[in-house]
Amino acid sequence: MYIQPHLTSELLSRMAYSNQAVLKKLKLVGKLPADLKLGNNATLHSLAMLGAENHTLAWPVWQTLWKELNTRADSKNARPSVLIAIDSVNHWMGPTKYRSAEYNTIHAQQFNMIKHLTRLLFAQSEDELANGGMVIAATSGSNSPSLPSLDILLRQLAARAAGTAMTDPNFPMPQPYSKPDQRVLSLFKDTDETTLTTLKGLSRLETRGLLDYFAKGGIFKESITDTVVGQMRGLSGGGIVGEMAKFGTRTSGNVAVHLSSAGLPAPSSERITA
Amino acid sequence: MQNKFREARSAKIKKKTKDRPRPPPIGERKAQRKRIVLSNTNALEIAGLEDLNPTNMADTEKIGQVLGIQGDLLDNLRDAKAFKTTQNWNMFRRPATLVREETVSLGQHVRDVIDSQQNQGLGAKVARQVVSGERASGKSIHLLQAMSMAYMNGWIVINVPEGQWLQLIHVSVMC
Repeated sequence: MYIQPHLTSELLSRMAYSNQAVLKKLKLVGKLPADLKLGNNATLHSLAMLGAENHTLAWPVWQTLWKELNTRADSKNARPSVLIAIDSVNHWMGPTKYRSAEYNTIHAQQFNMIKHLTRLLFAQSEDELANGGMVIAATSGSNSPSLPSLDILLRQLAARAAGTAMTDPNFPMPQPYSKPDQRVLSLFKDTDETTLTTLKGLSRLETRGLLDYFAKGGIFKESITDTVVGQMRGLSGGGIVGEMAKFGTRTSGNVAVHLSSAGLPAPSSERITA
Repeated sequence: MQNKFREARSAKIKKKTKDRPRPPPIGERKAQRKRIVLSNTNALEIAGLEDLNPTNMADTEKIGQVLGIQGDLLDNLRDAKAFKTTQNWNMFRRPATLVREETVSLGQHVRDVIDSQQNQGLGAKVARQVVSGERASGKSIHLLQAMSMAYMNGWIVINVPEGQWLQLIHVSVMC
């Protein structure tokens, strides 16, 4: 197992600055390890800053801080819930570019921080997140490495949500004679409470709301009718919100222009007027 | 006489010196590329733009509406690196996000956790969620909405803005 001192330090710095107001009110309750030196009445904020400023201390600071955050809240010590948000989680489900001393590829799950956060996402334990909270991780769509084992894991989560039993012949399993990544596939067995949210295109109602906002902000100049809503949903691959934002925020805001740039004929009413 | 044309007075072709502008100082280009602009004074102010707040975060009535992000959360979200450069924030007067069905169910999860925390006997709840979807389908904004809900309820937020950072070879590793 490996630790990543600089990245841990960056994580602590993001955490210390963005949660400053809350962390400054929380007092340390446990004993500090000998190498972390803080004065009396130290708060969790000063502990986090210690790791943020000195990367050699970052890993022990993270361990201590995590233990402190998971202390059960009581009448004397308040401890808030914790949200862990992870973007582009698919990079954690495969081999990395790092090599070991024997020049073997290192798997992302061999890094302590990655392993820890992935465990929080997939496995419940009594001692961790004792004060409740949420762990939410998003995959990346545009920068996604090809990872068949992760695809299977996601399909398995979807199948479980749909009520397919593991014994069912339709339950997604790795291809026979393939070598699936057991570090990834075994995550499925760890929990039954991780859910999968698949974001699809916007509904008509949501599309109308978004276009309305663009129009009120002064960048979308069409009047918003059912036809325009339908056209924009069609142009953006069935309401994919990022694509729609691209079309909606273009300065012309003219549907006919977008249609012609997509190689489609202009809508009939505009063709008559032109 | 023969040396006449080799004197210093003979025709010389002057080298043209081009005025090259100085390149921007080191780090300037990257800073410009990564700059997060959250406001645009040319954009119209939207009258009656409501904010996302702890009371309306799980309200199904709000589906399809765009709700603003409270001003005091912006610094927190910025420090947590929750905003990305690709997200069009610079087109509007102030940051706002669309409430989708998934946002409301996210708000419901947050509400459940808060309720379970107040019922001390049962133990606090933890919601675990993987968000997937095709490119540009709003996954990072979903995370941003989760983070703003957490900040406004006084939670502690730990954010990993890009998982690839922990996996690329650019940074130090120790056994």
